[in-house]
Parts: sequence; C-alpha cells; structure tokens
Amino acid sequence: MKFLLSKDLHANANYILLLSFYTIMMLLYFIGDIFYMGNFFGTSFEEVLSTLKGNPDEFLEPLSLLSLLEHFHISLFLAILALFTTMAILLRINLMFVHKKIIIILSMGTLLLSFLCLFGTYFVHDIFVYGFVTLSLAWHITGIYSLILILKQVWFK
Amino acid sequence: MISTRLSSLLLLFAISLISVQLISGIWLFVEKFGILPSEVFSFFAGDEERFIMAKSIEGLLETAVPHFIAISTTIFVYAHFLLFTDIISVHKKFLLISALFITSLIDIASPFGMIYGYELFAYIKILAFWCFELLMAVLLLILFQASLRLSD
Repeated sequence: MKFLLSKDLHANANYILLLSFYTIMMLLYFIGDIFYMGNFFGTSFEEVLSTLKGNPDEFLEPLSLLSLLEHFHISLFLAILALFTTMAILLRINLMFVHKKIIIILSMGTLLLSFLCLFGTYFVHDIFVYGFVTLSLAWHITGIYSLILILKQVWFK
Repeated sequence: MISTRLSSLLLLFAISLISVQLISGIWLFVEKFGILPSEVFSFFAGDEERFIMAKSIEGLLETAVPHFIAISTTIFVYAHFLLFTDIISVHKKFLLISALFITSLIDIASPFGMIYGYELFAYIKILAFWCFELLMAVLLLILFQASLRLSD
C-alpha cells in the first residue's frame, strides 16, 4: 500500500509505464492461473472431485495430503501477493468508495473462502467442491476486473 | 485521496490470508518433516532403516531459493506497516524485524548442515521455525490492532 509513494498516478511518465507493465503481468498471472488450476484440478466439479478424492472407475488415486498442502501453500502465497498488490493500486485510482469496497471484499473474501473450501472438499464433504470452483473463479474474475479498471485509468484518463 | 477505512479493510483481509498461509506452512512442516528432531534429521540426512534417501544440495536449493524470496517478501510487505504505527516502540520494531529475518534465514539454511551429518542443525531448524511462526503471529497481532485503530 505504501509502495505507491505518489498519490497522483499521472505524476510521472515512468510511473505510468511501471504500472502498465505490472498490471499486464498481473493480468497474465490471473488468466494463466485459471488455466493452471483447470489443468491441475480439472475443469468440472466431477473432475475436481476425482483429482482430490480419486476415482476407482478411472483408476485414479486420491491426491496425497502432502501434494495438496504443497499446492495450497504455493498457490495461496502467489494469490495473496497478486491480489494484495492489485488492491493496493486500486485504492489509488478514482472510483467510488462503495465500488472499491465491494471489489476488495469480493476479491479478498472469495480468495480466503475458496482455499478454505478446498480443505472442506478434501476433509469434510463433497459439497464444498461447488464453493471451491465458484469462489476460485470469482476471485480470479474480480482480480481481472480490477486490473482492467486500473489499466483504463492509467491509459485513458 | 485514499480512504483509511478501505486501507484497514484491505489490511484485515491480508492479515487473515497470511494467517491461513502460516497455518498451512506449519501443517506442511509437520506433515513433511515431522515434529521430533530425529524425524527432521532423517528427512534431510536420510535413514537406511526407513528407506529414506539423503537430500542432495540441488534438492535443498530447489526449496531454499524460492523460500528466500517468498519469506523475505512476506516479511517486507507486512513488517513495513509497522513503520506507520506507534503501538510498539522503535526499539521493539527493530528487534521484531531483525528477529523475523534472522530466524527465517536460519530455518532455510539449517538443512545444509544436516546433509553433512550434523544432527544439531535439526534442533536449530525446529527452534528457528517455531520462533519465526511465533514472531509472525506477534507481527500480525500488532498489525491487527493497528488496523482496528485505523478503521475507528
């Protein structure tokens, strides 16, 4: 949050350049991560369940706890870093207070809940898979939406 | 103009998320290495009776190098908020930040001692790991208190 020392996004041409490239890279992260997650867990509720809990019909072994924890640990760190810095930039752009508040709550809240639902699916009940898939898509989409808003302000103000 | 209420909201979410991250780190540590120094030592130095291969330097580097950047970035991002709060004194901030970096450094580097057969480094790693987790919890508690003050 305090990394962005200037309060005016357009105060410096290099600042715009820096923000533009960072925003584009983050966009690629959010879009790429959707594909990565689809590749790792599967692209439907059934596939995600098969990956996590195994499927005797398809001779699929369940994901080991160690693999799940390693995935969880790395993915959560990257997601926190990406969303936190994106939201820190979002705070600096001209948007209505309520709009910013909804974006922050939606993105950070769904990120937190999606990872909790992942554990819920693995340990508690299959029903959590719906939460995991939907909320994962939600925080990715909110992140992408925020970055588009940032780019729009940086480039077209 | 940046709203302090929105900043504190974002900080509260960030604190919650990194807390989950720390818990997953503890769980991963216990699941992967074990709790006892002998288990941690066996994981890195190998154990013929339990058919555990000793880790190579390349294997250790694969874990250590990403952790250097991930942990230092995490400490930097979260600890820099301490500079904007007066909940603890400047001296205590200095101690907390130094201790966070030093314990994480010892935690990451100690497996290199174990692969050369020094069991002492298993004790050092466990001590450094738990100290780091405890210090992060202290840091997050301070930031939590600061963000609540900010939102008032």
